[in-house]
Amino acid sequence: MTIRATEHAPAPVAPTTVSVPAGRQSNGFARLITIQKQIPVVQLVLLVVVFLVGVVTLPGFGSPVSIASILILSALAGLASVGQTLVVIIGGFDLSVAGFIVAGALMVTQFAQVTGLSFFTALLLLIPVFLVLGGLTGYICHRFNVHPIIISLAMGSIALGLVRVVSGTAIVGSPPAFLRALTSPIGGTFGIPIPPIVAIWIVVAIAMALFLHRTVAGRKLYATGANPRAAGYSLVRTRWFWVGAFAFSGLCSGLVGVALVAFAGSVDSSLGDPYLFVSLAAVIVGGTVFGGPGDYTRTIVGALVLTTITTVLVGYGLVKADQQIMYGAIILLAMAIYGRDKKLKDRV
Amino acid sequence: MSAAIAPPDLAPSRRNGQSFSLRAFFRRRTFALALLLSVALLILSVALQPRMNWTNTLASFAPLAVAAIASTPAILSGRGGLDISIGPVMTLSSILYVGFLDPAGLGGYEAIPIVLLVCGAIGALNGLIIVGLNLQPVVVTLSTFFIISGVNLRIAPNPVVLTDATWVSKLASGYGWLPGGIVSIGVPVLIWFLITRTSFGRNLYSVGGNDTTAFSSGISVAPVRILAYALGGCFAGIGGLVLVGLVSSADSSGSSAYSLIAIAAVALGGTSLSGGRGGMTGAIFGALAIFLVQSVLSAARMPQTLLPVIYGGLLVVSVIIGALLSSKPKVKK
Amino acid sequence: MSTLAPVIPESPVGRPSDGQVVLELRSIRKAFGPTIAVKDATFQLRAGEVHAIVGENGSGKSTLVKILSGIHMPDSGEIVVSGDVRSSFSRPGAALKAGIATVFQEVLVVETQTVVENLWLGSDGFFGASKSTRAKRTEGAAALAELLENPPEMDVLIEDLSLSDRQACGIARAILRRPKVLILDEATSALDFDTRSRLFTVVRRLSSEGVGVILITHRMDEIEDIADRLTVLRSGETIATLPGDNWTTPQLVQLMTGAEALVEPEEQAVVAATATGPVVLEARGIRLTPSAEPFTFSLRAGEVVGLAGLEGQGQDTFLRALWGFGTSAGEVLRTTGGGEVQITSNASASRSGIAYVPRERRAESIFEWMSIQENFSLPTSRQDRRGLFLSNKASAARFTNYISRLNIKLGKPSDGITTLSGGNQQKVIVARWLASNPEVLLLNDPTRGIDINAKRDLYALLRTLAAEGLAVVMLSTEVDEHIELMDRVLVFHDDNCSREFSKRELTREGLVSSFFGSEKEVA
Repeated sequence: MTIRATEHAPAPVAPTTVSVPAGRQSNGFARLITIQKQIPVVQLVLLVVVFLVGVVTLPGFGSPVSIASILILSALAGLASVGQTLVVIIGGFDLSVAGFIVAGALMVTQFAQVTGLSFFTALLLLIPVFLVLGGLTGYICHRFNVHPIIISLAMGSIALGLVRVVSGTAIVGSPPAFLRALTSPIGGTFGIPIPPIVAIWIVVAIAMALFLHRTVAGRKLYATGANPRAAGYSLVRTRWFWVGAFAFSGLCSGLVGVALVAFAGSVDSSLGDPYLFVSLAAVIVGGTVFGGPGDYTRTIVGALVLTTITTVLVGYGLVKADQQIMYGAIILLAMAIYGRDKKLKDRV
Repeated sequence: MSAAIAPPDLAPSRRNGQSFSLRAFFRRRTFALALLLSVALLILSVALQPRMNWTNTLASFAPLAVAAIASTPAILSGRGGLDISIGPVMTLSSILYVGFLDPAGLGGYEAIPIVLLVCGAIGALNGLIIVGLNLQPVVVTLSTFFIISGVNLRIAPNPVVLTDATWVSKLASGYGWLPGGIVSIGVPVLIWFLITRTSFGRNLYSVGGNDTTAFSSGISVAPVRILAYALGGCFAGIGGLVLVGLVSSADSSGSSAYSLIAIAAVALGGTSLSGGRGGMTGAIFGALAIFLVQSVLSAARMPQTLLPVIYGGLLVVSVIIGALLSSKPKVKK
Repeated sequence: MSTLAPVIPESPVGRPSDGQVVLELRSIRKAFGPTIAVKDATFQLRAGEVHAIVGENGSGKSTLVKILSGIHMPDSGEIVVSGDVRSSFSRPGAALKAGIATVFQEVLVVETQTVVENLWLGSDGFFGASKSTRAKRTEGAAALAELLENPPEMDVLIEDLSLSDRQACGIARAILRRPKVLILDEATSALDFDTRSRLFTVVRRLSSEGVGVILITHRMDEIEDIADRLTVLRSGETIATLPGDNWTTPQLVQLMTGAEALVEPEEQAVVAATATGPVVLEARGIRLTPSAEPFTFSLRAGEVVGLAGLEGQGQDTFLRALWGFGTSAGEVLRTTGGGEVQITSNASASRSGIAYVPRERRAESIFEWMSIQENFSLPTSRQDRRGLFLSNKASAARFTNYISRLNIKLGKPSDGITTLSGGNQQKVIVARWLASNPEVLLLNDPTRGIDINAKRDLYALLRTLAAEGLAVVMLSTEVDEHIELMDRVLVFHDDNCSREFSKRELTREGLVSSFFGSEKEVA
């Protein structure tokens, strides 16, 4: 788009930068890119295509229970990427997800058992601990200007270690029965036939949309990612947005750990690993770019696409190794489309 | 992203020159802190275990040292050049040797060029994608980390064991009086030393220090970066063989073991994670310090559960120290 | 040696005007998206001449330099170097190989490397060195000694040098490549006075040896001093080439702008008539560096004060100090009817009604992927809260007000900020801060790189606001802006406020010569 010269513009002298109209040759492709920037069309089309392929080629794929399971898996993936989305918007990324998930899962099971705390006391304890550990990651990264990759990973390992120091290495303990209903594909929420975890996901999605687009803090969060220096001059306390985003991400991971206990029925040390990959991949595949623009609704689409593809591929007999390869390739592809840096010559 | 997380320069700059000379010292001898730490830990560790077997200790230290060496070129090349794929590439090299080359009768020294070629090519591909598509190195190597870990899992779902003793086991024992660990570390160091004596070394440090300046002065920035990643891949290949020498097997589940601890070692060794400052000496002493912390902890019968906490803490502290030491002084007028 | 350009031009020439053409540009054109940076640039550089290229900000000077140094490739046109016709240089290395060395305005050094490594940066091949380390050290030391009175040791890290010495290293680097064409793209702005005059001696020597020198500058005294010819660039076109001894400043300004003067005479009359109100901001006993002289400054409502001086003489530090960045000594006080508030931080400055428009528009003001309206409303978004949530309508209503007031030309407020021209972007940024209802407005070189219409709109706006009682402090690097807009001007030299001009005392010559300090006359 170019500047529209208005009639009353006084133009006695040629402006120093000359603009020409973008031209009518901006055909369908250019328009597609414009739309794609607003709505993740490509991802939605991919989602529909993959789903239909599944329905046609895999028996039982289209059944209500199967769809409910896909939704539950997507909800877990989507909830694991709530914090990640915020962190990516401010220009970082959070690798503590895996460690925090296992730590969260242990906290309400084994930790609670060893220390004799009730489930809810353990849950209440979890919230401040994970907020602090996550926030510390953000603080250190911003204060010392270091890349979050190492700090967040280390913090994940510290969180897991701290819980283990109390609870021991042996993995026992199981979730309370009522928790299982949370992720049951045949369960409902207050009479509505949606699994509770999916209902939670919908609420979270609405809350995120309101927060990001309709609050001062949401605006400032975007500004922090878009241009930290300009945000500083606009009196945005960028450090506190780093602390906040990482703290929130830590808390989300911990809570997803709790939900995963319910879903998996038990805890093992690799419980969080797939969700680390998924959370990053969902955000990036949705089309959120480091430092923005981006949105949680995009992450939702990303989570649905990834989960559906994975489910279909598992139906074709793919194993964990293939999924990892696929995630790597998808992240690379999505970044090649969205996430290019400036060319060297444009930085001179 | 390094630019994105740079805190805005809003604080009034009232820093005076008191700590300046100390920082100047560390800027010149970036590895000094790691060296001091290593010496202290070495004394402690000898005190705790007077009957230390030096050959064995060196052999178990070697994989971490080589991993740190492999991480260094990419970091030196700047723009946040963390190569996280180093760990999986090491594992791939192990699997390649134990699972494929040795059974096919290629277990002799002829395995070396094959492994180096494969791993170097992976490194070069990383570099090619990074400079060709202008992507952040971390994102690219994270993707290759996923991909290569997956490939490892695919080609060797279960651990493979080396059936016959080949030359690699000498890397753990020794060549006559020479401990194998010295050879394991010495070979990549020698390669690095030779290649950085050429103008490539100078160019690499310049590119890492300020790539736009290097570019506008006529340095071919892209090939320099690609070669840096390729070298990292080659060193990771050597690391995989060293690991086989130590454990006589290859396990795809160990893919991620070395990536981050190696970067921590490099950072602790005083190499700036933003590029252009530091080197191999720092990487080796950084790795030594981390290795010795681990061995002192186990000698002091520290509970296993505490290890990840201490590891994580060490990572955080070393990165912070590295960031503090390499922070730029203000421009004087 | 193999990668170096040929050492000496074939025929050294005595008189510059007789030299053969070493470099010629024929109808060069370069566009970035819809913006045409260089429309039609044609010019010749002879061996042994110093050829100045002048033009306003945004006239295409820097794009032209980037084309010549191999950073950008032109869309069309030809470059002829020593008779060799080519369409472009694919990369900086190719330009250097053809014998064109460039020193950019921005100080380009590798901070983490030593002096000697910076001097020979890029001269080596991929693996092979161009010459022995010893030769590099002696030659490098000789080149630096010519430029600097106290040249640094070869093994000192560049980051321990002053900005001026760093730039000297950058210039020495270009000279050491023994170019046929040396381009100095406002390279003198970072240099201190001594180094600058030494550089000119070196430039004269080089041109007597047959090197063609292109000098990009906005300083008339430099052109007067050293240029044999000068070419004027306007809106990406080469307008005229003049002999170095036959031009006048008004003539040049007219060629560069295409207009007679920046502010119409009747507006100037308004300037003089502005009355001033009570003191709103006071800086007491301010020292910009520990060794600088303390001074006191008070700002009255309704006046427009200019901060002037050569680049980096303390005016930037002073302006920032007024927005609570702190200085070496002294205090900044905001005085209102109710009393005094000390300004100790950006936040306290903002709370007391002081707004600051930063210098680097792209790096410090713009949120590139965000919309025009979001860019406008960010610091004041609290005002758009209706209940718990932000109302887009409220923010749009606020913005509409400023669109007409500042004459911002835009498509829709929801378009991206990058769809606007530089001048309109700057207007949005000014609107951003006016929306906070400031009583004191600080502007850090707000007209840099914006077109002349936007400039005029901005001047008119500032005058109107001042007439309404706003106090304005504006740092500017353009002498004409001070002459025509300001009620008074503070001149900074060596981190001291060295001189103050009232509106009546302001003359172009007086202002420019004051830039060099009272004790040093213009060379």
